[in-house]
Amino acid sequence: MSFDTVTFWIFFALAWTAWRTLPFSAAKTAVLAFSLFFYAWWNPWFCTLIAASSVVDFVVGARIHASSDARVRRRWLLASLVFNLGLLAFFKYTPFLAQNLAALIGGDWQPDLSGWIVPVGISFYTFQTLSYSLDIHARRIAPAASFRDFFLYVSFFPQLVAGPIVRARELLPQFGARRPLNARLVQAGLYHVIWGLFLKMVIADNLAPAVGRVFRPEGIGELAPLSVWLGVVYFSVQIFADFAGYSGIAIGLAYLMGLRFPRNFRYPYIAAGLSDFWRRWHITLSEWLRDYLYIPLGGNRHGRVRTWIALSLTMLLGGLWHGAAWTYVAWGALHGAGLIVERALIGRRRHTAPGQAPVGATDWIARVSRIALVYVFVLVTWVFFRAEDFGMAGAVLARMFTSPLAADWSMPATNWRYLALALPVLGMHLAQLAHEWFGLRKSTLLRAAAAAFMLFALTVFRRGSTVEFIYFQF
Amino acid sequence: MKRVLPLAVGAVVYAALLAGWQFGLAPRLPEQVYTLDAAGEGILWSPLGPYRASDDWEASEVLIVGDSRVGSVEPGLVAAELDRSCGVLWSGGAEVFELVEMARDWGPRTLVAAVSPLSLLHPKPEGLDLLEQVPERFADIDELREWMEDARRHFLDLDLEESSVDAVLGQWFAIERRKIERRELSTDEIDRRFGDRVDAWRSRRVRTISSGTWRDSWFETVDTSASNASYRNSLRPETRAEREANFAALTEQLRELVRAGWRVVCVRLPLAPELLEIEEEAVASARFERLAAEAGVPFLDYSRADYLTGDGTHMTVTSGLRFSRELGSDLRELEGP
Repeated sequence: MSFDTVTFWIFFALAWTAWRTLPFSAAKTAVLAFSLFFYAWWNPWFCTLIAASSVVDFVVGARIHASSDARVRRRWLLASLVFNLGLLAFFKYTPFLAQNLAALIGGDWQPDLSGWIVPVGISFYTFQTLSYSLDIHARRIAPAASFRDFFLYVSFFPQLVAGPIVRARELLPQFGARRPLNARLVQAGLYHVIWGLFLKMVIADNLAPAVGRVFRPEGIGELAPLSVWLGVVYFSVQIFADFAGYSGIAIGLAYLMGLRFPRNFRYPYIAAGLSDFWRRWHITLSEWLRDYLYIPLGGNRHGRVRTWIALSLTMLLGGLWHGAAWTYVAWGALHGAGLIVERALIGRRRHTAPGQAPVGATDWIARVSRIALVYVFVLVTWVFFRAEDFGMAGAVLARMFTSPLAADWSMPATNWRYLALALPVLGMHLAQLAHEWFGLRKSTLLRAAAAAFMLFALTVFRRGSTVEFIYFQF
Repeated sequence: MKRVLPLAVGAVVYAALLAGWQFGLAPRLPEQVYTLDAAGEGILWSPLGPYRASDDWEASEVLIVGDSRVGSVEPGLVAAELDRSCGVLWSGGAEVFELVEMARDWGPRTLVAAVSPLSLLHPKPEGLDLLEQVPERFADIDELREWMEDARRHFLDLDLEESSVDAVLGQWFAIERRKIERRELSTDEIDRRFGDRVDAWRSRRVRTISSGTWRDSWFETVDTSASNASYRNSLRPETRAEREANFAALTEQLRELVRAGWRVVCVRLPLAPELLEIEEEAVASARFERLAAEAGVPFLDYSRADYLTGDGTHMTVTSGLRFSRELGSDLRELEGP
């Protein structure tokens, strides 16, 4: 049951009514039941996994909290880590490991795991349950008041399948009392929902065929280099629109229920550096990796080499988190290498402070060049993210970097008209840039007009074939 | 007031944009190319394959039968013009006498048979009998995929043209997948009941666009050269004798229906000029007039009428709706006062 289907909105109307009208305790129980129903829609058996993960971490959290012995606390934490990472490794990485093992062994043995199913959202909820145990261990939070509240936090349907990755300290306190629903929350909720549906149904779904034409083995040789660049640009817009769209809808749903989720995207293609990019792209994952991986690995506290190692490992594992394939590892590795180079060249200083306008032509050129450079780097890395294997990635990159002099310009081109779909996304990024550089306030009336435009686009654009949210697979 | 103002601004902007689009910009743009699938989900199974039918086809007084081109006809609009219930029954690549044969069992009524050279003989890949051995029920999508891959390999081993194999199997796959998804508690059924109806309602009232379907202009242009070649191949001279035999069989079928009290009308649906030219090379238009005359039924020829198709043979949604009204009106005229 996806956010972009009618079924979901019927479901949401029922869940919302239960949440807002029942006594709060009964409302929480009802929404927990709704959340499990939502998850069971994919496969009822998946519910046993999420239940097991929740039970383990609820018990572990209580044990860690109850003990004052550091060794006992560590042991319980280890149990949570082993269970959650084991669950993730088994369900998500078994086919990947088996294939690599078969390649290593050689011979005729080929594992037949074609029917293997990765439970939807497992990467997201295992990170949530893990953060709960880790935060209790670090004494950052107290355990949940009840198992029901904790289970609801883990399985809460708006963020269950593809994030944002909400920490226990952000959501559990909101289950303490029902927040009154006011006009501002409803407005924010509706705006986020319309924004997300627009990004998904108008931009991402309609760009999908143009992207697919570039990333297919039989088609790549027929395209001129500029067309391949165009196709990769389309993918950069599609992946942003798809994932930010999902997050936007999830955040909007939470607002409509009187809750707040953390922001997951802050217009990443205006990033002036790679570290800035990761403060704007999938923010909740970046922060999770920073807090629970990069910093425990030493962060930047133990000299330059240890920092680089921590950065590399964090980005490699971040890549692997996205998918069980070497192309994702390569994607993470490239970002890790980019972050190391950036850190070596310019250190850790922030590129621009909010509200700090460029001063003079040199500053303008420097800032715009940095944004362009980061965007081109991100574009090149997206090739590994999108390609099914290294062969495909290599073919796309080879076409991208064919010399314009050697290129056959008479070859058929990817349709440039799809750029029209990129324009609204460009507009959103420029508006954010104006906000950050010149401190322009976001007017409520302008947002209302923008929402009207997006609703209009949702009205006149038909859906070709429905494309599943890309991040469902992670 | 402060709370209501954003809502009011949003509503005004939305209405202005929609009005500007609907009455200003959209009429100046080329017609959208996507086609309307007027049939409901009535799937009629026969040994020859799945047939699509409008929900109320069994009870309808007027039944329009033919190949996939009939899918562009909106039976509701025909019915409104005729003031009688109307249904459609069609299948991709169906031969019209198969459908007439099937329709014969359902009692006297008005039958509108859409004829074309291809609906008189649509060469199908040999080995179609494999499709008769389809399991009644696939356990899941994986089993269906496995079966489809086997069937595809089988067809390709017979040296059949890949595109026609994929077209035949693709049709089966879509229907079977939908059945499985419904069984697996998918949202598909609910989405269809609510979403598809809202979408159809919207498509009829608002000019909508989509990537990949905007004729000769936005997002994609339709390259018909490949389908033209495939079309020409289906009508190759070697098929002429068999097609002529089918003309004779259809004539006899229609005569029988008329004798049994049916009102029968032959129609030729609109198509692109370049494909009409290919059809003319295979079967002269006069042959259809002769078919109708010999069967003693009226013939309505829309093959040169001014309607737009997305791919040369299937009318776009706007054309399909316009055509449905014209067909209904012409049928009413034929029936007389």
